[in-house]
Amino acid sequence: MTQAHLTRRRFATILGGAFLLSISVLLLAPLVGPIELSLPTALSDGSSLDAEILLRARLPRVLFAALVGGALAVSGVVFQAILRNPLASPFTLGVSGGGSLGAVLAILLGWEVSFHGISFLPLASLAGATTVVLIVYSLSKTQRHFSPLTLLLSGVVLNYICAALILLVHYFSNFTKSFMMMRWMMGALDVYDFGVVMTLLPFILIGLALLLRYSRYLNVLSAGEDWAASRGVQVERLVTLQYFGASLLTGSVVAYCGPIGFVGLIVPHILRLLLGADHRILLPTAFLMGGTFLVICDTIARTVLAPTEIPVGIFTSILGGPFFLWLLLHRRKELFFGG
Amino acid sequence: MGSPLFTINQVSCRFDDLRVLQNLDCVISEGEVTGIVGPNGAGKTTLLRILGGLLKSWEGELSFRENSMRVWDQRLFAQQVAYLPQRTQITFPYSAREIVLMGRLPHQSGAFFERAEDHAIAEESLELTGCTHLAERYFTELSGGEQQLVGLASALAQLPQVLLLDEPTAFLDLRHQLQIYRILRDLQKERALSLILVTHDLNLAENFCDRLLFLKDGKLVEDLRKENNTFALTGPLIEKVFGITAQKEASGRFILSYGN
Repeated sequence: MTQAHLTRRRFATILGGAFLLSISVLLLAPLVGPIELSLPTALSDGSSLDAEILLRARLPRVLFAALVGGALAVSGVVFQAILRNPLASPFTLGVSGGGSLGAVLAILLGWEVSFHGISFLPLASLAGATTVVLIVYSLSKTQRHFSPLTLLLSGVVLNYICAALILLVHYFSNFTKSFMMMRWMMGALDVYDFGVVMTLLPFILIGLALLLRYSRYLNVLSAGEDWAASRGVQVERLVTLQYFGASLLTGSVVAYCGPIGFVGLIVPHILRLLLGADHRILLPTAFLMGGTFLVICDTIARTVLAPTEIPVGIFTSILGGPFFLWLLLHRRKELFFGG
Repeated sequence: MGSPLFTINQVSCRFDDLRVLQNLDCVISEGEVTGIVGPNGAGKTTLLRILGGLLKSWEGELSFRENSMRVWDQRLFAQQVAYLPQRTQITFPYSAREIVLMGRLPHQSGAFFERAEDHAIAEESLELTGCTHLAERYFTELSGGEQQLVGLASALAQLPQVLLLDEPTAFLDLRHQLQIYRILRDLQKERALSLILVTHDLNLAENFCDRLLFLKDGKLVEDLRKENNTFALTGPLIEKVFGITAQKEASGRFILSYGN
């Protein structure tokens, strides 16, 4: 099996293709739904029901799903690279555990209501995620030698602690609250205006810029710490930067839609199978394809049993899992088991 | 003897309570092949990692080309010094060429794509190590020997003036061992490369090196230079360093045995 190296042309072709694919999905997805939509009516008459559905219900939701999926996939690529572990996901180091703990605490205390358009639930989730990120980072800094491995150890432990505390919160909640918590933990993309999209956008742009800028260095880092250091990379600085960048993406996304699983694990995997491991192309493509993947899953989740919506996280696994297995069996046998 | 490359002055290193290196004093010269030999756990790899800037928790004074290692910019250092580990384990699907191109990183400041020059140097490094035919194959699919050759090509793509090698052939078959030392020998002559090599293979060290530093329990116990193409190796020295019995035959070869 052979692998082409990155050239300007390859970069432009792949990114262009991914861009076209995601644009087409983004344009088509809002037209799909339980209610038939007439695009001409929606566009010509701003006060029509069609326009209302398109602009208030579907378009924000599709854009939201695209941002969330993109952020999770990019974050997954980065966590897998810095931990040098293809089984890592955005949720491995406890960011989502902390975010979820913050959210279920907010529900327990009855803070899920919003005042003047500001909802406390995402803020509580962000606070939880930030706390965990800082604890994991300072724990690994106390080690003699700061490395991705120490991040992994403290992150996994914190993740378990958060999971235990979430169960404890459940235990002390009544049935209604416990049900709300469970639904939140399943993840949901139901937004009804552009407000959430606009709030999330700056977080994602900052995180993305931070990660993309160092994608070349991520290549040598993903090959090993010594490998990177002997090629002139300041490993500790780079790991710290990537850790906080990827945590920012994951934490902000989880705050608004709960921990939607599988996107951040499977999309990086699939893209690595198709494109190789060069992070310069992997990161931007993961953003586009992660978003596209989640938009497709969400479109199915909200239509297949309409008007009932199935939590999108169920579909990311049901669709992504078999597709991944199929790719694995057809394309990469020799990479996992040979050599 | 060339000008000083590394000046090691009272360098010590400890891992928690374990003293790995103790008050090392030594000057390593330009243009030579310096071998660091000694038994397992003597501190050889630790010393090499300190010289390569990979391990920073040491005490004492250490300078590279007259400047303290503590002030060297990591990227500028990597433009001059390359490091080849015992083996390179990579999880992700990079091609051999991508691995070699990574060696160009210290020479590019912030550029997103490699330049034509980088591709040319990578190609040349692949040729030097006889890996041209492996270029588009996945690194993970290659045999241990091929991986080590590609790793060497990546180090050479840094166009280093100094190459640090940590038992580079420990896991390789005889043919790959000889091939790697042949390449290194040629390069050392052509490019005036300085080599610092960690090994516990005395035969190899004797043939290949200009100078041997014997480490035992973190201390430098002997420093030998090649004269008239041989080292003044004695039975007692080998016995002292490796803790084995060594008897010299008339032919000059040592008969080594464990215990008496």
